Amino acid sequence: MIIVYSTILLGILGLTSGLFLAFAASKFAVKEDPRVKLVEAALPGINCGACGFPGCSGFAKAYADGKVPKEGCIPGRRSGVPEKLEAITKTSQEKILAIWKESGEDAEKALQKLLSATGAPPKPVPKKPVRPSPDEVAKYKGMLKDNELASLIYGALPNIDCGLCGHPGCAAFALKLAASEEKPEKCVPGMRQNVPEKVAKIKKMSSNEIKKMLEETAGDPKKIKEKLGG
Amino acid sequence: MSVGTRLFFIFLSALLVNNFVLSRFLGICPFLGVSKKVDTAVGMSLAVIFVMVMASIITWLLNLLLVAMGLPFLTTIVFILIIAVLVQFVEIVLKKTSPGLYEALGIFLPLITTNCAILGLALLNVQQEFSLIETIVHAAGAGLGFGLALVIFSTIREKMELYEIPESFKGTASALVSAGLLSMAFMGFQGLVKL
Repeated sequence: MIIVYSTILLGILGLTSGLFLAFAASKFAVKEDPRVKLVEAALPGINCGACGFPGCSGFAKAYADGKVPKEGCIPGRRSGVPEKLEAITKTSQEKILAIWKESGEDAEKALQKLLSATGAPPKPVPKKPVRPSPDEVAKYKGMLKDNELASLIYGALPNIDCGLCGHPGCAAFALKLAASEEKPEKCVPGMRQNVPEKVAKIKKMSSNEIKKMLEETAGDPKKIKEKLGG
Repeated sequence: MSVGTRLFFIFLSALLVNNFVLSRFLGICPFLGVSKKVDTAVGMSLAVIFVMVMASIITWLLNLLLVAMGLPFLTTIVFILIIAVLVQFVEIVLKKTSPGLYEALGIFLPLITTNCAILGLALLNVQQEFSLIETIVHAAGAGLGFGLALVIFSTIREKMELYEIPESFKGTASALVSAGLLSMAFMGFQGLVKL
């Protein structure tokens, strides 16, 4: 008898609480802004956290609120994300709602529709960055020795030899920068470390100043970054 | 003892003498986990107070049913079910009505479900055979006591961040030591009220 009663009681309790919660969930359902959903669909969706938010949905919300620039998504910069975000921002709220309803509240479909409607530029094919081999990196690092300007610029770079700029390592990139054959903006990880500003600062220095700074820091990249400041 | 004084004593007992965190050692997990900042500590305390009072009322009523059906051994599982449902409900309502508070509480809101202080409170109410009003007062006292301990502790931890502490004592180690000292301080309330 006890078993029957307990089963009945727990069954009823479980059922009522389940129904109660289902009712509450539909009654208090939160409709999310379709604009946020569209922005989220345009992002890479890898939740890397490089933008400073815990994930892509956090960035999407902040972007829709106008709190972050469209370049804030770092991995997306090379795959046309800023252009897509721009297209979403330029579209009026009414149009977004219309597209949202048309595509059956499916974020992916709605985004495709919106992009084709606004005639946004097609997604550029990103050149796959090649991580330079250690030998290559070392070769260019050796070439820094007789180039003081490049040595100092090398100190201002992130020194992680990621190859995202298209050159084999930070030393090779520094040599190109010293010869004014490249733009400092090409350094992708450096965009968040004010590398372009630092390089511009170095380029303005006289050769004596460069010599002095190299002597003071003994060519240590860490000390050079400190000297150049934020 | 008149009804009023008894209610007051129950409240004081739950708040200070038998403080849930510092005397009964219930709900230590959020006590250590959510006490790094005063803001989150206050938010967590408010959510816990609400869930404690609501859960106490519902479990008190359910206990009548359980006793009438002769199934008092089911209290634990039934109470946990009710608490879980209640926490879910609070989360759904908060998300709709107050997104700001919802974001601030974050993961701690669903974690209240597994806060043993709430189940402990519901079981204590039943054990001590409180009336409904006594139950509500007891729950309010327990919730406020939890909040009091959490806020005091979080202010201590915020200050501790500024002092130089030996490397091996940084973080949880020093937090545990100061939690012990705080608990000893609360022992001073022992004997203040006897129910």
